[in-house]
Amino acid sequence: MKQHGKYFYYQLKRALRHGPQMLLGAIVLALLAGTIAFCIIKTMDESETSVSVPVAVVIEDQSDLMNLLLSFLADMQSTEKHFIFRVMTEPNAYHALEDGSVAAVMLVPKNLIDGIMDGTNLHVQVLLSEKNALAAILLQELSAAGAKTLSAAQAGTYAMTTLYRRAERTDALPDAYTALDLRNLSYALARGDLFHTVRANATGEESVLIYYLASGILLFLLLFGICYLSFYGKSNAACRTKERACGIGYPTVLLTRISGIWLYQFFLLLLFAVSLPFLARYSLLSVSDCLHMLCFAAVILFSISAFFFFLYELIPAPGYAMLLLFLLSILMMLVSGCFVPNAFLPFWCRRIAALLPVRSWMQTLFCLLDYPAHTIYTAAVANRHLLILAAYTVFFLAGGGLAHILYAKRRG
Amino acid sequence: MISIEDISFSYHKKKILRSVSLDIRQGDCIGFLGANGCGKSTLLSLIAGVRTPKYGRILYDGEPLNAAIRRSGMLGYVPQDNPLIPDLSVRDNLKLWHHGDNEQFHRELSDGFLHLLGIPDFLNMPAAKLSGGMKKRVSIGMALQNHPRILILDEPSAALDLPCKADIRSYLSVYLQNGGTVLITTHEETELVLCNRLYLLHDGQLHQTDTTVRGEQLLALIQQTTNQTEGTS
Repeated sequence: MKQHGKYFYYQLKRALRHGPQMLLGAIVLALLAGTIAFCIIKTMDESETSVSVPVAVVIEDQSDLMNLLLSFLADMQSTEKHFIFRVMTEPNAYHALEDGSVAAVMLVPKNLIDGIMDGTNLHVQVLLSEKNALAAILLQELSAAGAKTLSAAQAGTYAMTTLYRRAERTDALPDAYTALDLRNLSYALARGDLFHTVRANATGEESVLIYYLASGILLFLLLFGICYLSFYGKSNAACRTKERACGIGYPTVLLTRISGIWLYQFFLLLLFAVSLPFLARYSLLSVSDCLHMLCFAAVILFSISAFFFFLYELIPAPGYAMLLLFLLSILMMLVSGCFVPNAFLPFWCRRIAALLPVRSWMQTLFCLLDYPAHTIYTAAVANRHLLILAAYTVFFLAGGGLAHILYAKRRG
Repeated sequence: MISIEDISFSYHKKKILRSVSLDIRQGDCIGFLGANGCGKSTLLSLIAGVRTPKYGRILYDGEPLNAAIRRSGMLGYVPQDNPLIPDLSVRDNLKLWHHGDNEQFHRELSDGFLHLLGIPDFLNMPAAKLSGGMKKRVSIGMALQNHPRILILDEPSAALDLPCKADIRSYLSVYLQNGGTVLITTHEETELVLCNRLYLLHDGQLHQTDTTVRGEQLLALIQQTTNQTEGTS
């Protein structure tokens, strides 16, 4: 036992000796990740994408009023640049949605206009296509903005009606309705202003800043693994012979290897823990919030360490392992939409991304960076990602251990 | 002391050792000769407990190898390549495999085998910066610092210059004079002089050879077995 302890101690000492090298590597990587994230944000901010989204409209009520509404909708300043409305039958619309020739199907029910007038508010069902995610996001944003304008207009109408009735001036209501309609119409027609402030982005529920901050942090953490190769797996065949002759078995060797990586990850965690009181004061977080955030950070860091361990045990040649880690990190992040949001990527990319750990790392980082919002509204989702990461960690550790034993047995 | 009973070993389906038996007594210096790849290193690694024989057994004072025997420091093993961790200092490398406490370690440095090997002169140097001869001395020191009763050396003089080879031979002489037992594989005649028993490993089996065989005769013997091995394979 004493010999095992000594082996563990000297191997960790060895890992610590690479501290300055690791620090330098960390600075270089932070600069690299920061530059990439900055360039992406600038590119996305400055490029204006012209999107023309085809939308199928299925109208149950073929009245003149409905046709008038549709032509009004198509000519609106906010929609005419971005949407092409095609009136279709329901089966044709579904078929078009299936083959991706339209981004969405709007199912307009009977008596929609009457419903708006009398406050029944019938729903227009909008079916979005998974194959055209960017268009779907844009439509979602526009629909939400339209719904907000409409509900504001309705609220105004009802408030005005109540006010005039209480004041016993119902005779003046028709004129007041006309004036209000004109005003609402002018707001609706000038909605270009609205879309300057309500911005449609492809990063889902996350702000662009949080999204790319998370991407930058993840890129840094993944590429930081390259620095571990300076001390990882440096024991040559003779050392392994000596280890075995002195009774140092697989469990001790493996524990030492993973601990060498955890040592530096633990240091990062410690830095985060030290910064938490300041964060708590700035963001008004409670002690339990801080502990929860620390737990998120620990799970991310430990699962990433386990990933390095798995990769390094799978590819024992340091040069190849470094190359593979670099390529794999970049590829996984690219496919998972860390450089360019998922919405811009083909459908099959999103399918693959769903299977990769990067997605869970990103989601957990979102929870960490936008902590209060995520824990209040999506605590279940956050905990699910924590569980997924824990499962990945177990898988990577078991896989790495198995690879180590298999290689050792093969070498004889 | 060590009793090797009918051991066999295969590597990737190739039979390296076939029914090898040998008795090693206290104070023996046994040399193993043979062509490259004949299984000398494998035999030593089996005796050192690095590998386990497929068949047969090795007994150490009548017992199979266990944690207590390893802890007792009975065996000192010097593999062919130097088992040094390059990014640790010589001191750390030695202390990593030293079984005693700090006081014993310092005693070893001041007047023990480590002193004899001249290790205190470069004790604080990183192992990566040592010359080939220094590395070999540290490797031997790592094994000798625990005062093993049996020293197992796998080609200790390979790739070393003449003064280093002479030094190693003198260290071994001192160790043998102190009652140690040495198992050695070597191609060096100067080291073979120390051996009281010589074995030629051929076709997976041990053949005892006359210890007075030297020079051309020895070379011819090894050459002959090499040719036979190539002929049969």
